Amino acid sequence: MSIDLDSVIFRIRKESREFLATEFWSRQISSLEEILPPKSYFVFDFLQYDGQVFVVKVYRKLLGRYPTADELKYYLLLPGILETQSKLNIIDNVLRSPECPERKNKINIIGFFEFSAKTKLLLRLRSQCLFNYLAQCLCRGWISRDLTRFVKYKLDSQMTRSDILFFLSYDWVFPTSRKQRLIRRSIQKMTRIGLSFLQWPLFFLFSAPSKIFDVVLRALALHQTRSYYLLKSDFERVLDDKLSEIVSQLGTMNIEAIGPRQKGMQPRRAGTIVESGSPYLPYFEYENEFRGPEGLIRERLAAYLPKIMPLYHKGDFPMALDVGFGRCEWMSLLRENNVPVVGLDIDSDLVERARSKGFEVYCSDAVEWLAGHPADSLGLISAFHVVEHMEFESLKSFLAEAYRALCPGGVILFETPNPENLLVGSFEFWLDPTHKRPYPSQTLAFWTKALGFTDVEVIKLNPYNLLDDTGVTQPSLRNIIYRFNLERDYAILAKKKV
Amino acid sequence: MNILIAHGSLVEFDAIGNDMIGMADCLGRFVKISIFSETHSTQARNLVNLAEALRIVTRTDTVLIYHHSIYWANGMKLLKAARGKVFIKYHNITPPDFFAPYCYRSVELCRAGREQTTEMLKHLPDAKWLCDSSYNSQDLVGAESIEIVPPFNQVALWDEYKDIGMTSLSESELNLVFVGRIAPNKGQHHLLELVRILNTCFLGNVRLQLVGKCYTPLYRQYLDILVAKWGLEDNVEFVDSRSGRDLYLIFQESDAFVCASEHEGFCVPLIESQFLETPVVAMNYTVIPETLGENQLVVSKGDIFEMARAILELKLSSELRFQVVSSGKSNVMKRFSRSAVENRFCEALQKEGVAL
Repeated sequence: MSIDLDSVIFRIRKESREFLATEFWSRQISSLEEILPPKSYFVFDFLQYDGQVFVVKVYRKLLGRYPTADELKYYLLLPGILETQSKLNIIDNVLRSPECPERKNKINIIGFFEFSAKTKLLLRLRSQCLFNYLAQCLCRGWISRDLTRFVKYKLDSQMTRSDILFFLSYDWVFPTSRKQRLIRRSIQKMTRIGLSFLQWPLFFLFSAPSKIFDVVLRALALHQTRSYYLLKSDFERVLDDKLSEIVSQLGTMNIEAIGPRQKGMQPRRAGTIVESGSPYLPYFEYENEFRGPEGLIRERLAAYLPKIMPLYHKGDFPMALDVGFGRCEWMSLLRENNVPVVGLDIDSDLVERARSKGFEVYCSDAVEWLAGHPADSLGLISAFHVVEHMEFESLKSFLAEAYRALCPGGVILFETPNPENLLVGSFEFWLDPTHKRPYPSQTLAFWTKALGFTDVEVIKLNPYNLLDDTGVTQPSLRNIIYRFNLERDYAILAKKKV
Repeated sequence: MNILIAHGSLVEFDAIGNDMIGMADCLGRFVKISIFSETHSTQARNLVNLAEALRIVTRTDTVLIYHHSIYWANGMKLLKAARGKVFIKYHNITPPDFFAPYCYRSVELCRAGREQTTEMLKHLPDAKWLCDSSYNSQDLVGAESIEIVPPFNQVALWDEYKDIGMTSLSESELNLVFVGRIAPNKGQHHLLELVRILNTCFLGNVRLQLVGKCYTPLYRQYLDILVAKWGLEDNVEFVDSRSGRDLYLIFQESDAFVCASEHEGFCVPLIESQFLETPVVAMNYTVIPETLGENQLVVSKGDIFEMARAILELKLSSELRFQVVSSGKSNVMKRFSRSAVENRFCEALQKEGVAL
C-alpha cells in the first residue's frame, strides 16, 4: 500500500509547529548566535523563509531567543505574513523592540563587500564645505551602484519594485546613521539654494568666485540627489496606497476605536498584542474637567521657563519637543519666547486642534518618533503628565531614546503627579483611568541617572495646603497633615552630558 | 574536430571532476579530446598545458567546453582566445556572503566568479550555456541558448561494493550522514542542532557523520565550538576523506542522509544517497527539491524541528522508508543514469551543430 507523502509531510509540519509552540525548546536550546562573533545579517537571510520559520529565525538571530507562543501567535495572525512587506514590518518591529539594543549592527543591507570601502571612507572623512560637497556628489554614484549590485545579486525575483521602495523607507536600510544624516542635511541645504532662473546671471556677476564655486558644487550635488527625491516621492505614494489598502481592509470596523486613544505611549514591543476595539475616550473633555483650566496650567508651567530659557538665550540651540502636548499650554509658552518647538501626541483630535493653532505637531508614539529621529538633534524634551501613562519598560525605552536624540547639554523635563502626597497618591492619581502607575520622585530620579543623564534635579511644585496645621502641636498629627499638604506635582529636570 | 574541456582544477571524485571525466569518456568515442586544468589530483589522459590549450583553442574547428564554478583568471583568456564553438557548463557559484564571517578570500573568489559570469554573458553572446539544473539557469539572465544537462556522475561505480551486503539498522540508535565539504553554505551547523534535538529522543544514541574535506578552517572551528558547547563529542564525527568502500559502508549503516545545505547548484551526494538506498531528508533550499525528484521528504527551509520530526517518522515507519527509497532510486535511474545523462549531453551538443 502506498503512502501519501504529501499528507505525511503536512502532518509532520503540523506536529513540529505544535511542538515548538510548547515553549519547551525555547528554554532548552540556546541560540547558535551566542557563540558566533558579532555578525550582521542581510535582510535576505530572513526573507527567504516563510511563516513560523521566518518569525523564529528573526527572533533567534536578532534577539538571541525563541519567540514565545504568544508572540508567534501574534505574528502568524498578521494579514499577509507571506508578503515581503509584512516580513519587513516584522523585522522592523523586532529591531525596534527594547530587547534589541544594537540594531545598528544587527542588520546591514549594503554590508561588507557590497558597500565599497571608498564610500565608507568618504562618509567618515567629512570635513567642511568643499570636501563635503565633493564627497556627497561622489557618494550618490557609489550608493546607487551599490544598490544596483545589491538588487542584482540579492533580490532575484523575490521583491517587486514597490517592495524595494517600501524597504528603503526603513531607517536601518542604510548602514550608518551618519550617512542618513548626511543625506538629510544635504537635502536641507539643497532646498535653501533655490535661486530662480533670472537670479543666476546676477549671482555670477556679483558674487565672489569662491562663493560661485561653492554654489555650483551644491547644484551638482542637487542633481545627484534628484534621483533620491524621485525615489522618496515614489515610496511615499506606495505608503499612501498601502494605507488606503489597510483602511479598506478594516472595512466596517470603527477606525476611531482602533488607535489607542489614551495618552500613554506603549512602544511596540516585539510581539505585543495591540488591544483593539476599546471604546472612544474623549480625552480633551477629560482634561478640561480634571486637569484644570488652560490659563491656570499655563501659569503653573511658566514656572519652568527660567530653567529652560538660559539654554536658548545662547542662540542656535536645537529645537524643543513636547510629548503629549494636550492643550498646547507649554508649546505656546515656548513659542512666545521664540523657542522652536514641535509636539507629539497620539490623540488625533488634540493633534488637529494644535494644527489649527499653527503648531508643528505629529500624531505619533513618542518612542517610535524618537527612534526615527537623528541622534543629538533636540535641545529639550518635555513631557507633562505623560510618564504615569507608561509601564516601566516603556518608560525606560522612552528615556533611552530621549537620551539618544538630545544634543549634548540638552535637557529633559518630565512632570508627573507626586504620589508622596497622600491624597494624590491614593485618590487623585486614579481619577484618570488611563494612568498606568505612579512614579515616586526617587524612582524617576534614579532611573534618569541610571540611563546616563546628569545634573538630575527634582522640582516640586503646586503645594496642596489642604489642611491648616496652625495650632496642631502633636508631632505625629503634624506629620500626617504635612503628608496631605505636600506638592501635587513634581518635575524631573536632567541634562545629557556635554 | 577537437574538443577542449577546461576548468581551474580537476579533482578525483569531485562533482566537477567527475563531470569533466564523464564528458571526456563520452565524447572520446567520437572525437579527439584534450583536458586543461591548472591543478589536478588525478592522472587523466589527454591533459595539456596552458600554451597547448591556447594553441588548440585558437583553431576554428575546436569546440571549447568550459566549466564555470568559480573565478578563474586564465579561464577568461581561453574564452577570449576561442575561435570555434564555445559551451559553458555552469555549475553555479556560491553567494559570497555565506563566507563573509569566515574567509575573506572565498568571499573575493565567489564575488569575482559571479562578476565573471556577468562578463561572460556580456562579452560572449554566441556562447552556449549548459546548466546542471533549471535552478542554475535562473542566474543566466540574458543568455540566448541554455540547455539543462545534469552532470556526469560516478554512482554506478558503487555497484562494485554491492557484495558487501546490507548492514542491519539498530532500533535504539540513529545514524545520520551528510557528505559535502565543510563550508558555511553546506549548513553543517544546522545538522549539529538537529543532533542536539534528536539526542533527547534517542537517549544520546545519535551519530552524525560529516564526510568531507575542510576548506574553511574558521567555520570548522565554529562547528567544533558548537560540538564542545553542546557536548556532542560522542555524537558527531568529522570524516575527512575515506575510500569508496568506507563511504559505501557509512551510507549503508545510516538511517538517513540529512541535508541542510543552503546553497547548491546540483548536489551530487543526494543522488548517490538515493542510489545507495539511503533515504534523504533535506531542507527545501535552492536546487534540492529539483534534484531529489518526486515523493521525497523535503522539509521547510531552516526548520530543524520539522526535520527532526521527519527523521523520527522515517525511523518509525518502514513503509515510509521503503517508499522514499524506491522513489529515490527510480529518480536516479530515470534522470541521472549514465545513459540518460549522455543522451542529454550529446543532444545538447548536436543541437548546436557539433557533429558526433
